[in-house]
Amino acid sequence: MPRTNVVSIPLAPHAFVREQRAPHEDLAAPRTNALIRASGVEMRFPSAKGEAARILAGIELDIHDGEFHVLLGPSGCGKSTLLNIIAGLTRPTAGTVTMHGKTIHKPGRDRGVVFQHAEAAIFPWLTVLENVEFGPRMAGVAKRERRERARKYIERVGLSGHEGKFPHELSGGMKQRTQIARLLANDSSVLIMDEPFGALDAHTRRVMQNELTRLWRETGKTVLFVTHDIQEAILIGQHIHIMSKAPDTRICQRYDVALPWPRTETHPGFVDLLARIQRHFDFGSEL
Amino acid sequence: MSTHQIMQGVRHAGGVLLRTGVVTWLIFLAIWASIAPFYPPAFFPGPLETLAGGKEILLDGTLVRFSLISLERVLTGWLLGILIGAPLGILIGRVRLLRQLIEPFVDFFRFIPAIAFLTLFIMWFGVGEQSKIILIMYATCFVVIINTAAGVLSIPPGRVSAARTLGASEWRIVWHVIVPECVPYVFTGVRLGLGSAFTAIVAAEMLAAREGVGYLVFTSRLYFRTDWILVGIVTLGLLGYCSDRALRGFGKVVLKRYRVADAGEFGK
Ligand SMILES: Nc1ncnc2c1ncn2[C@@H]1O[C@H](COP(=O)(O)OP(=O)(O)O)[C@@H](O)[C@H]1O
Ligand SMILES: [Mg+2]
Repeated sequence: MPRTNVVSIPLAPHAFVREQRAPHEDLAAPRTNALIRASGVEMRFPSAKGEAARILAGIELDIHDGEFHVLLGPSGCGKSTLLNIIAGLTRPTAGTVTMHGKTIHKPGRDRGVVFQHAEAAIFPWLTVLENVEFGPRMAGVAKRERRERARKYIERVGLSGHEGKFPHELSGGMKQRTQIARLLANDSSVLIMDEPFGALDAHTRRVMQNELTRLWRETGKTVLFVTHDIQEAILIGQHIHIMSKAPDTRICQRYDVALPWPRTETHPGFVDLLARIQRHFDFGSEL
Repeated sequence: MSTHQIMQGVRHAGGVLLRTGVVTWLIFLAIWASIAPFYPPAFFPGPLETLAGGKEILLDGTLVRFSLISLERVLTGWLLGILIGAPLGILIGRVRLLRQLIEPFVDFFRFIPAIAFLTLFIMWFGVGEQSKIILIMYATCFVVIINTAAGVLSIPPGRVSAARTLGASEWRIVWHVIVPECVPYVFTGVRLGLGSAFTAIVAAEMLAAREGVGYLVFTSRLYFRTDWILVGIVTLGLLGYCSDRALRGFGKVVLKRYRVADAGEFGK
């Protein structure tokens, strides 16, 4: 794989990163052309004690067509909750999420999701191939065409030769890759991914991270990717949103990362950004 | 061959005989054969006398004809019961209001055996085939509905969500997610339903029929043919056993991908 050693070591690593304190100060800037916009999104869950725990508090998020956004935050801060709201699977208790200016109130084929737990998301009675062609099948794509499409993405996630297997015959990582292939085969314009590579071994994860950024650049899809792994966020993200701890989770900082892909951990820009993001998660930070 | 090897061979063969049920039946027959001689044959015939009586009605064709008639009634009512019960179960599992309405009803009817309705059904639908088939239908329907609805309720919400984000409409979700998800539950209901169906048919044939295994068991008493009663009972057991085996085979082969439970009574 060609490494990006063309990028000379920059004198000022900061040149690759633009920091933005959230909520956005540039409210005057035109915000009308956002593809997906979350404004004032709040989520309360009834707790055992009776009073509602506020997990999300006033989330502001603007996603433009073709961008790659990463939500980075500690476990339990409400990342999955936010993704579910954007996917249209749950309603926020306050605030709105719009797509193309229209409020999202139900799931749609335009927003494909890779769920955190592949086990609960793929269909155990269908083979890998049948799982992957499920979306096109629902859309009424002819059998031959959807098979072809499914095979293509099965190959891309490295599952060739396993098409005929049932989920119980697959490892956790293979189940997750089945889910990713199923998403890609459905041709959604927005890809919502909830810690999709968490169950993969280090090598496969690396391959999949590179495949994802390559696919994103080739297809111009919009990606919203959740992780709690700082390194992963910097390896793939174009825009990284730092989420604070629950309760009352907010997006406390946004980083726009201009490092070219595929990225390496040894790049000075990477090292610099890692140090800066790490500070958010260090003990005693205001996060 | 060493004695050790022989012992191992014997133990292996013993294991096979035990697993296939041969040992169980041999013990049963031995007990039966040793108790029966203490009583007159008209009161409690032994295995050999029963076999002789069975041969008699087997050769004149009665046993086969009666078996087929009972089996036909059972299968017809049972299939109809499944066709009605499974969709109803899905509906009840999906619609909360319906569930709340029906719940108290179910807990009431749970304790009324189907046979309790026999006289009513005979009054309403006549002494012909209709009343018997409706009775079996009712007996099957009930367990199928309850099991199917339980299956629908146990579906992990993640799968339905996944199907929605993949663009499936609510109708297609029912057919492509809900139905496959509850196949194992429906299957359990269907197996239990078969048991209820056999119970119901024997009772129905005893009270209102001129043919069938239940009729055989009931009328043989009038001719003091206790051996035929036993033949009828054994036949019922055999019919049930074979139907259940066939059903389980079907589940194992045709419904394999839905992972239906192929378990015996003790969950083996
Ligand atoms: N349906 C729910 N009911 C009650 N609490 C919930 C529900 N879903 C999530 N939570 C709570 O919200 C918090 C955030 O959950 P989640 O979004 O899954 O976090 P993350 O994905 O960032 O790890 C957790 O404390 C979790 O217990
Ligand atoms: Mg999560």
